[in-house]
Amino acid sequence: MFKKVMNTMMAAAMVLAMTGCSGSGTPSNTPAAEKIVPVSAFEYDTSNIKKPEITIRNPTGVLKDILDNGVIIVATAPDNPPYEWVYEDGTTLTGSELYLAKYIADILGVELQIEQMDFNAVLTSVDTGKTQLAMAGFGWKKDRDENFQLSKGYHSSTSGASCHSLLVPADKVDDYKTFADFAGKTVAAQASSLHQMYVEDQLIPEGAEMELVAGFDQGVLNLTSGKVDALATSCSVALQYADQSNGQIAKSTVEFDLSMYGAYEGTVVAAKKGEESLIEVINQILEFVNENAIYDIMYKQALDEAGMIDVQ
Amino acid sequence: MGPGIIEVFLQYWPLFLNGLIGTLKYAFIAVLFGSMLGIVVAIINMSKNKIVSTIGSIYVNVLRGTPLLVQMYIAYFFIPMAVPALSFLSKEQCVILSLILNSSAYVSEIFRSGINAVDKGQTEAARSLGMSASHTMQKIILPQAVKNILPALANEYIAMIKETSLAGTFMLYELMYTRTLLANKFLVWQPLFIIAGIYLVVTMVLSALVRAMEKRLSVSD
Repeated sequence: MFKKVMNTMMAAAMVLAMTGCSGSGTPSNTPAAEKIVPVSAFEYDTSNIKKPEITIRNPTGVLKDILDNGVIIVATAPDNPPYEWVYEDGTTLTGSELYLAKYIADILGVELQIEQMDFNAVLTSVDTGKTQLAMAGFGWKKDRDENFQLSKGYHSSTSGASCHSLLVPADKVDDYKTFADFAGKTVAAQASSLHQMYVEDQLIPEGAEMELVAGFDQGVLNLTSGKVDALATSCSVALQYADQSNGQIAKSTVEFDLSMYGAYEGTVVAAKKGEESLIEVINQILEFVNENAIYDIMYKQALDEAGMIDVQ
Repeated sequence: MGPGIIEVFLQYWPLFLNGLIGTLKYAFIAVLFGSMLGIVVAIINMSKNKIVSTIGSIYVNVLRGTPLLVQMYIAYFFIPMAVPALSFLSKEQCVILSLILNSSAYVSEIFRSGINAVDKGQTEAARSLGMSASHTMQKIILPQAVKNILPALANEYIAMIKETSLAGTFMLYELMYTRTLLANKFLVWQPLFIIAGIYLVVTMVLSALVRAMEKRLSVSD
């Protein structure tokens, strides 16, 4: 009996080991080569994009792992085109933020590995060391800054990437002209996203209420079913949904003011708290990206790839 | 808003088909290996040794008393941390592992009731013929128990088909994951109804099969 049980268990273990495609694991015992899935973001060619000269002084922590293993593991939630999304095959990941991830990997001279997961799980995964960098449209927030090592913000000044607005029912567009018009209204935002930050900082002081949703699609359902009055999102996403809604919802003319965030304007990258060495290097890269409007290029390409409408 | 349910289904049916295949595959793996592990857990649970049987009942209670989604998070994030030897497991394997463990707890209870339902006289007769305890279990009790519990196991498979929808949280390609894929095409409400319809059809067909099987098995009684 015992022998049979053992055989069964061994068979189970073997099948477990054989099923499944690539995934994560600790970088120390997984060779980089067999882990890479050929996906669109991996094929993103950064050779024609200007790159900064970065200085890495005694790398420590995760940065040392990245350089030693020659692979950087990025966590993302691919439900947010054009920033990050996944093709129908379920494995081809792409989007402007993932292009940026490839750019960062190319500058560091390492391979890029991307783990896709639910938005809620992204920060947990960097905290537990499952992944090394979280790129999923995060905004800077005080409590997040206390628990994670956040980079400076990156943004695009010439394209619509830095235009953030709200979706509202089409017949109510004229009701909202300033932030103050949202007083007493319920505004949905994806929890821990950039848009939660904008709503908290710019609409709640005016008397609006916020309804957090786990996924952006839930926000759209909330808006179209009348459970909330508005949904905060980027301008291009708002235009895309408005375009597909048969005139039911529309982009508000009210746009968020991003200038108040200084160096943290735009999207930030998150790493585990204490990974200062890694974030210092990332900040050097992001400063160069912002100065040379590099994210603009990536954003426009991603917008094209997603077949989405640009704001301008 | 946007295109209707039927239009979306006609345009994207291969996605839903792939998703359904994923769902059936994960549920099958979970129940198959869950059953094997479940037999072991059931036997541990019925051990005369108090310590052994307590361990078994803690295992069953923990896995049945906590939500599967929580188990998946723990399996995915913390098992490789706690047991470095298991860090070779991929995301998919971690999620499948948690499905198997969860299923084994439910299946072990099915087996336990099935084994208990076999008349005590069978054990006594076998033992008095000089068969060992394990031999009795293997040759006399389990074959009869398995026949009794096959319908319950099939129902566990049907339940597992619905449970695997949680694997979509970890972006495994199953039916619920098609929601994420289509949300990326700005289709947010239509997939929900299509997915619900597919689950309903599949579970109804399988339930009908289970009923037919029950009828067939009862013939020999």
